[in-house]
Order: sequence, then structure tokens, then C-alpha cells
Amino acid sequence: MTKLQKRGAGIAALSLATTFALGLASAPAFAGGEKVRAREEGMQVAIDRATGKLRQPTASEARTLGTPIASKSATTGLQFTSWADGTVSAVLTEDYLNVWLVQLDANGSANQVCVDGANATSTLPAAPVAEEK
Amino acid sequence: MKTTTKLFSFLALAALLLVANAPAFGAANIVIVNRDGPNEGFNDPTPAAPVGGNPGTTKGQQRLIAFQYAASIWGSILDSPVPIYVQATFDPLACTANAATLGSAGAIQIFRDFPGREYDGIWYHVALANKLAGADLAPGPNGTVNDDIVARFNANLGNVGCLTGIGFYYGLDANHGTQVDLVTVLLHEFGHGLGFANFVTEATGAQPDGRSDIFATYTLDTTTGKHWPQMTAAEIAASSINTNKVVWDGINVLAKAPSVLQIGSPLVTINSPAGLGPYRFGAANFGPAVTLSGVTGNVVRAIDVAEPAVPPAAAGTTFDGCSPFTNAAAVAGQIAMVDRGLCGFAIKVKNAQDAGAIGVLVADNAPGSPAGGMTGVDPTITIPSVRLSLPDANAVKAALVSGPVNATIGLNPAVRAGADPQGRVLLNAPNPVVAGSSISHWDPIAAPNLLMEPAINADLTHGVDLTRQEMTDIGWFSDGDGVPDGRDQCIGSSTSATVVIDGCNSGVTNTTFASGCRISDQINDCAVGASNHGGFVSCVAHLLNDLKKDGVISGSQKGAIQSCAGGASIP
Repeated sequence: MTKLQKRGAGIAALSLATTFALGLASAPAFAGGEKVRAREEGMQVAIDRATGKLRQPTASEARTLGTPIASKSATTGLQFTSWADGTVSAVLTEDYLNVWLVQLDANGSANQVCVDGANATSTLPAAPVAEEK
Repeated sequence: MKTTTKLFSFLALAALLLVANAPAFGAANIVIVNRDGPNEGFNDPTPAAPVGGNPGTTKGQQRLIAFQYAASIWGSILDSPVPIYVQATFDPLACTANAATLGSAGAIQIFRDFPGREYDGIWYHVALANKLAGADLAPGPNGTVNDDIVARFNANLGNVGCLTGIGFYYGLDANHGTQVDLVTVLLHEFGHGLGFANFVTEATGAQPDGRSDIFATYTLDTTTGKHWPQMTAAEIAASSINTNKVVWDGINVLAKAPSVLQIGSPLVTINSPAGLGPYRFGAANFGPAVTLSGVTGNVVRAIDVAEPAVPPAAAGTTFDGCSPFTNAAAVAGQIAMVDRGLCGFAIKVKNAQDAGAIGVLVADNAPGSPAGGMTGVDPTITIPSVRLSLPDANAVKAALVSGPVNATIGLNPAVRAGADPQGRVLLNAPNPVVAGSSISHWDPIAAPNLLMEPAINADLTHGVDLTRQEMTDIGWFSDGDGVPDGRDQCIGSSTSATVVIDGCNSGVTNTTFASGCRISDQINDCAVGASNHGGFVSCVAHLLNDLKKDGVISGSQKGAIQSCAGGASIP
């Protein structure tokens, strides 16, 4: 599965077919253990068969090439990316992280609870509370 | 709401990165990506004495070893051809002398409708999606959103002013004493990132892109009989607070639960009239513990004098149990019921004991479920007491208007602790919702305590208990037979397209049934159960007769398989 993501103007490769896909990896240098970067920094153009000149691909052509289609959810704030093979992805926000909170009670015992990032400042503990009266 | 850009903006500070990939070997390779800078977090050079099997000699080394240890536990359990990258840091996080954020973790990305999925239109945690796809769906350099799990922990925990004196225990032996066992917290948090979490906002029922997720797929509301993907947002919001009625119904957890959860759920069982209860209760931290046999008696509402108001305290009522009972004769030998309020729980229970009661039900006076626990100190109390939620208590009171109510305060032997009466494991569904804590955890009523309860319990010992089966349900061991593993009774079926017995290819299609089992599984059952070759052949013959009768195979196909069975060296 090849997925190209348009993230900039860096161009590293050119292949000619009905359409062209320009640009591949330009991964920053890390100190080791890099993963392969396979869908970075692509730019795509199409060839007009009538004139033989390059032009911007249509939306359909771009989708066929694997250009992701981005959309944003009004309710969750997540940015969704649709890929040519039907895959859809989203990068989660901090709100979706699980957060461990701990608070000491009057006798010094530590009450812990796992909540999500959107509620990390909520009153502790969130589990059923043992009360005095 | 913080945006993704904000969340990961600091990730671009490559100059600060010290990436040290430390693999943890197992059936899945979980790699800890150390993103701390020099002299901080995992690279903290502060000398430390080896502790609890952790050989590190600096604080930073011990942290990294604990991370690797937790990763190796999950790595030895799960199965994936794609490495799982955990982006990890120790940073100063919010804290005071009495409260602190221990840390946070979760999946970095979610995917749906990728190749190899078990369900269409369902969100998956990226690590699981990678496993099912057999490829890294988010390839790219470490230290970016292309990693799989992010984990940040509090570097200052235990220091003066940051939960002073209570820090992380970096030992690997769970002998943490009053400290916070880092390995247990990591096992829990990694569990969320690997698949024990939904992506639902429980309070509203909102879901990413309006689509459900793999965790919600096995979340069942037993009141409506609906799984969460079948529900509207409003229905999900209502289900989120349906205490005791939201369960996990994946087939693997269901099968394992009886060997994990103990018999005897702490419940108030209503023996008569029919149709009431059982009711979950909040326990008291004074008096005797509730026993398996418990105490049984009629429920009698205790009556006392209404205490006059003593500002700022309001006046008491005749049902609050704060003064000696005036109906002691009726209460004696029975279970007293008193209302919460005005005075301490222990005072109410002592008054009931003095009146001769054998047990006490404290009726809550505020909404919310399950009922909370009761604190108090009175070493002279010898009778059990429990607290009922407001709606449950009101149901008992309503029944008392019509006649006697006989109840048992005890451990209900018909129900396992943490399961519903049908044996399905309960998910945490408190009312009101505790976002992030609701649903994406097991119900804390479970006994013994489970790793994925909303709070870490001191008796956990680095096992993953039922979470292993939850991971199986959501697809971590998918055999790709088209039947999702949470519904698949034969995970690990032969992938052969035709029925092959001991190298003999019958040429007959290896049909997959709705149960997830294939013809090859049924023949394997014959092989396992047979004491000799004749028994095996006979078992296969019976099986083939049934398959032919059901129209699964033809007569000639039956002959082909039977021929292979006859020639096989089985057993």
C-alpha cells in the first residue's frame, strides 16, 4: 500500500504515467531507530493527453494517486485523513489520553483514578467516594 | 480543547531529542522511544541503589528499565509483525503536596477501514490496526505522530511539594509499599493504548466522525440489549450511566471470567417480595466485613426522635438514625434501614446495634451510583452495615409500604464479583459519568482486583488478568477467517482453503461456519478426542454425515475427506 501525503513542496522523485507523483521521503535525521517514511511530502501533477502538457490533477485523479483527503470534525475537533484504499485515520488530541491522578486523603492514603485528558483537572477521586456521613 | 498541533508541537524540537530505542522482545516487539533530553527523565544521572530486581544505578536507568519491563510483559502476550513504538518522557507535570498527575498515555492515532480489519467503519487503535494490516499504517520517524503510543510521567513525583514523600517505585517485584508502583501503572496505561479504551465522549455519546470503535463493539447494555455501535448518541449517553448494566460480551473474556473472578458478588439480595434487587452496595470501613453467608432478616425502617436544628446543621428526621431508636422492639433481630445524613455513619450503625439489629442498610440521600463507601471509627460495632444508592433504597422503601421485605446482606454466591448474573464482566458505569474513567475500565466491584479498573489496587502483581482476553476479543490474535475474534469460537483456525488431513488434500472447501470454526477445526477435535485411529476415523465419519445432512458437503466430498482420514497417521 502506497500512500502519499502532500505536506510541502519538497520534490525527490518523478515518475511518468497518466499522472505523475512527485516527491518522496526527506526524513529528518534522528539518532537511530528510524522507521521508514513512506508517505511524506508528495506533490502530484497530471498530463493532459490533448495538449501533452502538465496540469493539476482532478480530485478523482488525486484520490486515485493516494492523495489524502482531509476533513475536520466539528464535534470532536479531530482532523481526519482519507486514503486512496479507503483507510481513514486521525491523530488523537490530548483529550483522548488516559491520565492518572492521585490525591492524598485526610489520613494520608493515596486515592488514584484514571480519567481522560479532558478531565484531568476534575476533582479527585472520581471513583465512588467513601464518606463520613 | 487542546489541538493536536499543540499536543505535538514540542515534538518538533528535534534538537532536544535523545532517541534511544530499547526493544523489548516478545511475540510483539514494543519499543520504548526515549524522548527525554540530557540529564532529565530517562537520562537523569541521579545515583540510585538497585531496587526490587531493577539493576539500574541511576534514577534514569531505573525508569527506562521499568518501562522496558512493562513493555516486555505486554510484548510477550500480544502478537504483531509490526513493532509498537511507545514515545516516552518523564516531565514535570501538575502537582501539589497533596495531589498530582502521575502520568498520561494513550494511542496516538486511530484508523478505520484499513486492509485486514475485522469490522468495517470501526475505529481501531493504531498498534492494533498495524497488527491486523500486517504493515505500519503510520510509517515515519520516531518522535512524531507516527509512533503508536505516547506516555508521559511525572518526573517530580515524591519530591517536596509534589505528593511529598510518595514517589514512583521502580522495582520490578511489585513490592512497592506506600509508593506508586510504576510497572503496574505502565501496564495499565499501555493497556489503554493497545486497545482497552473507546473513543467515545460518554457524557454526550459523541464519537470521532460519528463512527464507533472496536472497544465499543463489545460494549453491551443489558437493559436495551444493544451494543454501542447500534446506539444513537443519546442512547450511548444514557447507557454510560447504567450502573451494573453495561458489560463486555466478547467471547474470550466471557469464557475466561469464571476462572478469574471469585464467586460471591457483594450484593443486598431481596429474598421477598420477588422482583426486587439484587442491589449493589457501598461497604463500610468499620464493623465486620460482609461474609458469604451474610445476615438475613426483614428490613425495618428505624425510627428515632427528630433532632432539633443546631445551626449550621439542619434539623434531623425520624429516619436518620442519629438518636436512639424508638422502635427498638421492631428492629431487634432484623435489618435496620436508616437514612443517610446529619450524623456519621458509625453513629447510625451503633444505634441500630444497640437496638438489637443484625445488620444495617443506609439509604443514600443524594443521586449517583454505585453507592459510595462509608467511613467511620467505632471498634465496638459488631454488625455489618452497607449503603444503598438513592434509587435502590427508594425501591426498598416503596416495597415496605406494601408489606415485609426480607433481605440478605452478603456475598451472592450466584454472581461472580465483577460480573452480571449471566457471567458477563461489568464495565465501569458510574452515575454521573466520569469521563475517561467510565466504560473504558472494568467495574471496580471485581474481585480479585483487575489491572484495568479505574484505580490501581495495591494487590496487583504485574499480571494482565482478563485484559489478555479483551485483547483477544478485539483482534490481537486474529486468524483472518472473516469472523471477528470476539465472536469466533475457533481462533487460530487453519488458513488452508481446502480440508487437508495429515498432508492429504481432499480438495474439499474448508468451509467457515458462523461460529468462526471451520471443517478443519472439527476434524482436529476428532483427532484430539480419539484414543486410537479407529476412533478418529469413526468420529470423522459421524462429522461428515452431519455435514452432508446439513448440505455443507456432497457425497463425493464426504468420500474424499473420509479417504484422507482413513489414510492419516492419526493419532
